[in-house]
Amino acid sequence: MIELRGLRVHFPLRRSLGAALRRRPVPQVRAVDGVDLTLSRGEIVALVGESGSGKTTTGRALARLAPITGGSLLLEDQDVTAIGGADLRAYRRRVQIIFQDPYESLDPRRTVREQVEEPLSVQGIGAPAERRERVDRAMEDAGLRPAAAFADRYPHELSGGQRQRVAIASAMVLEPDVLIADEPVSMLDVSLRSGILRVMLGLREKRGVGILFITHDLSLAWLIADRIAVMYLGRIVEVGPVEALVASPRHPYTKALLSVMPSPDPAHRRQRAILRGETPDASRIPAGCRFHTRCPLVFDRCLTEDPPDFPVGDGHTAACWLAEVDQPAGARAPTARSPLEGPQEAREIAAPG
Amino acid sequence: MNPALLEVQELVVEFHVQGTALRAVDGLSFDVGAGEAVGLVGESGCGKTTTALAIARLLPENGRIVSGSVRFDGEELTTLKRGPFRRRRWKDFSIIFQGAMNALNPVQRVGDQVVEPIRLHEPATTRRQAWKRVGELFEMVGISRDRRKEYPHQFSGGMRQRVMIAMALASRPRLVIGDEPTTALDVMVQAQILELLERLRRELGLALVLITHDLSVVAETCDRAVVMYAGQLAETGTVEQLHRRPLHPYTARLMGSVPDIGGVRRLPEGIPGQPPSILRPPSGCRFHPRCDHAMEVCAEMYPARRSFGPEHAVHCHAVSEEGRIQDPAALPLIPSARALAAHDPDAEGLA
Repeated sequence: MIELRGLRVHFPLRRSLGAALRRRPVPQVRAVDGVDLTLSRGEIVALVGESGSGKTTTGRALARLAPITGGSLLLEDQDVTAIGGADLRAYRRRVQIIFQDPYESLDPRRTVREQVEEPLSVQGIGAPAERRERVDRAMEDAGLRPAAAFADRYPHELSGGQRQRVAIASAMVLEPDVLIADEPVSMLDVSLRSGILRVMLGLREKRGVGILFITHDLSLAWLIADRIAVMYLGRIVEVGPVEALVASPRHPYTKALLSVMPSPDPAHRRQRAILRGETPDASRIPAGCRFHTRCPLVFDRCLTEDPPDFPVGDGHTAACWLAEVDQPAGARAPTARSPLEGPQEAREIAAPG
Repeated sequence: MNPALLEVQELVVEFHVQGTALRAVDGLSFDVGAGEAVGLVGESGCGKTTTALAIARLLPENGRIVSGSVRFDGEELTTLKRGPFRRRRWKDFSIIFQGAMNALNPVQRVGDQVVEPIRLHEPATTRRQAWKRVGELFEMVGISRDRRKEYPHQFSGGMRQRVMIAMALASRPRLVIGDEPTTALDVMVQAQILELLERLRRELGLALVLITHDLSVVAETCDRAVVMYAGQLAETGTVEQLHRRPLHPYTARLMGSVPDIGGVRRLPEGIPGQPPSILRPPSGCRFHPRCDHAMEVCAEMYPARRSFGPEHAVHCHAVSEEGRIQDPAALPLIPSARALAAHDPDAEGLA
C-alpha cells in the first residue's frame, strides 16, 4: 500500500564562514540514505535501530513531516513525494503519526474529547452527531472504555498509558490506512506496555490499518511485528519476516543487536557479541559498507564497495557481502546498485571534512 | 552470604508537599554483601531512586528519613555528622546518578572535572598525582588517557557515562550505587557499560547496587534483587528464584511483562489498572487494587515479611505456608480482585 523507493533525507550542515568563502561544498547529514520499504494494508512492520540510525526521520518523511531530498514515496502506486495543498491534506488523512512522549503531544488545556475531535474539525468531516460517534468509537478502540468516563477529563488527570491511548484515538479518529508509531511505549512502565500493544494489534484487526512501528527495542519489534527492518546509519541493512530475522539473522549488525538484548531469564545469559566503538556521525558515513568500521567480519571488499540487498530467504534480504556467497551463480540481487555508486558518493562527502 | 556491607533496615522516607507528608519509602529493608551485586527494581514511583538519595543523604529539602537505619560496615550513617559522612560517601561508597553524565561542566576539561573531587577529598594529593590517577582511571573504564584534555561535548553519551564511572571509582570504594546508569543509552552502549561494570566488579571486588526499572538488566548483572512497589518491599531473592519461582503476584506479573526474545512469542499480559498515586496511596498492601489475589485483609494490613530459605522473602497475604502463591479460586477474594481475574485487558476504566 505504501512504498519507499530509495528514500533520502539529507540535511545541510552549517559551514564555517571560512569554508563558505572558499566555496567548499555544504556538508550533508545523510539521515536517511536510500531506504526501500513497503507496508501493506493490515501489516505491522517494525523499523528498528539505535539513535542516529535515521528511523525516526524515515517515519517523519513518511508522514511528510521531514523534507524528502531524494527517492520517492508512493501511496497505492501514486507518487506523493512532492504533493502539497489539498492533496497533502488528503494524504495526512490517510497517514497518521503518533510520538513517543504522551506528556508532550497533548494540549493540557483541552479535554480528551476536544483533542480526539480536533482532526475531524480540521479536516471538516461529519456533522456534530457523527463526529461524536466517531470520537467515542476511536476512544473505545484505544481502550478508553467507557468513552464517557474519559471524554471530559484533562491530560493531567490521566496516567501516561491513558495519554498515549488518547494520542492513538486522535490519530485513529480519521480512520487512516497507515499509522506511524514512533516509540509509542518507550516512556511507559513495562506493566502498561502490553495494553498499548494490544490496542495496536486490535486496530490492525478491526480497522485493517497498516502500522510502521518505530523502536530501538528489538524485543518489542519481535513481539508485535510481522516484519522487521533493521536500520544502521541511514540505511536498512536487513529486512525480513520476524521469525526468520530473529532465528537466523544474516547481517553482522543484526546478529550483534540480538546478542546484546538482555533476557529476563538468568539462565539465558547470552554470549554477547558487543560491538566496539560507536556509530559514526551521519555527516561522515564511511565509504564502502557503512558498517565496515565496526564490523567484526570486515574484509577488503567492504572498505570500497557498498553491498546491495542480497536475498537470503523468503522476503528476507541482507546488505552484506557475506550474504553474496548464497546467491545462485550469475544472479544479481534485484535491488543491486552499481558497485561504484555508493563509494563514489561517500568519497564526495568525506572529502571536504 | 558474605557479612553485610550495606544494611538498610525499616527505612521510611517522607516528602512534605503543601503541608502533607507523602510517604515515598515505607519500611524498606535489604542488605548487600561485600562484592555482591543487588538490583533494586520497580516501576516509576516505587521509591527506588528516593532510596538511593536517602542512603547518600542527598534528599531534597522537603524530604527526610523519618525512621529506620542505614549501616555501612556496621556504622550507622543516618545519624553520622556531616563531615565524617561525606568522607564515607567518597571513600567507602559512591553513587552514579541517572543522567549525571549530562551534569558535566561544558567549559571545563573532562580530566580536570575528575581531578577536582580527588583533590577536594584528599588534600595531600598534588595536581600532578591526581592527573596521573585520572589517566589510570580512564584506562580502567575504557577511555584513552589522551582524552583527559577534551571537553564534554567531544564525548558521546556512553563515553560521558564512563567518565562518571571513573569519577565514582576515584577513591577505590567498596560499593557503587548506580541509579539507572544505562537507561538513556543505546542497547549496544548499554551492553558496553554493563560489561564494564561486570569487569570492575570482578577485578576490584566491588559491591554493586543497581537501581533500574529493567528486570532483564538485573537478571543479566545481579546476584539478587529487591522488588519494590509504591514504596514498599514486595519480594527479595536471588535473580533465579525471582524468575523461576516468584512468590509475590506483583513480581510474577512484572516478570510476565518483559518480552524475552527467543522465548515464547506472545503478548505479555501486563498489569491491569493504573500505577498508584503517591498522593493517595492504597491502604494495606499498596498493590491490592491491581492484584487478582486481593482479599479483605490485603486492604487492611501490609503483610509481614515471610522468609523461604536464607535469601528468599516476600510480603504477601496470598502466599501459603509452604511458599506458594495460592490459587485465587481458593482465596476469599474481594469483588475488585474477582473482576480483575476476569477483566478485559484492554479496558482502562478499571482504575
